[in-house]
Amino acid sequence: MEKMPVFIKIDEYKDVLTLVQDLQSKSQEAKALLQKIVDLKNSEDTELESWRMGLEDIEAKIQTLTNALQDPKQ
Amino acid sequence: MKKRKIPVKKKRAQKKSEPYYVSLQDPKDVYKCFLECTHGYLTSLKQFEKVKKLSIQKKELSSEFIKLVTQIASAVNTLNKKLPKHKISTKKFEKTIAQPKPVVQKVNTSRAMSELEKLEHELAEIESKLGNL
Repeated sequence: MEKMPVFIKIDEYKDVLTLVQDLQSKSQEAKALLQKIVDLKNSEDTELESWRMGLEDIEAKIQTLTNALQDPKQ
Repeated sequence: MKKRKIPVKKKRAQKKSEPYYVSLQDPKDVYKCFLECTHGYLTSLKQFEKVKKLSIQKKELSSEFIKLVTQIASAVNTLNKKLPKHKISTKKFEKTIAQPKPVVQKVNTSRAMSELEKLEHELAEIESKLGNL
């Protein structure tokens, strides 16, 4: 396709410029928000992982308790 | 005063539930283990509260993000309207535009477009336009 010049009316041009600036600021805002969501997700993942490890620890302790109660000293 | 008779069944039950003593090898260890278990469960509950809070925050941020993206999309639409339109009269463009049309018509006749279908349609249109540039 040939590159053709495009002419825009001045009043429209001002509107377009404002819109583009608005878009730019909004996309930056969205980027920051997304980063916040990613951070939250990461901390949620960390919490879940430590939760899982804690439960594994409890499981092992319950096993120890069960062993102690099931095989008492005769 | 009348003496109350204990029923025979109750007497038997009392006999059956005689205390039974078990010696533990290391009672201190068992007690410690029990306490640690309780501590672990309480920590789990505390962690659950944290995760719940994080999840709520994430949901709020996500809805805020969706709002923002919708605003961006409408701004892009407005921008598209503001920009002058010019026809691209290449044969390639006409051909590729003609292809997705029947699919759109089918969707319109069968049922109302869902939000996802609308977005997919818009995406397909933009992709075909981009492909022709």
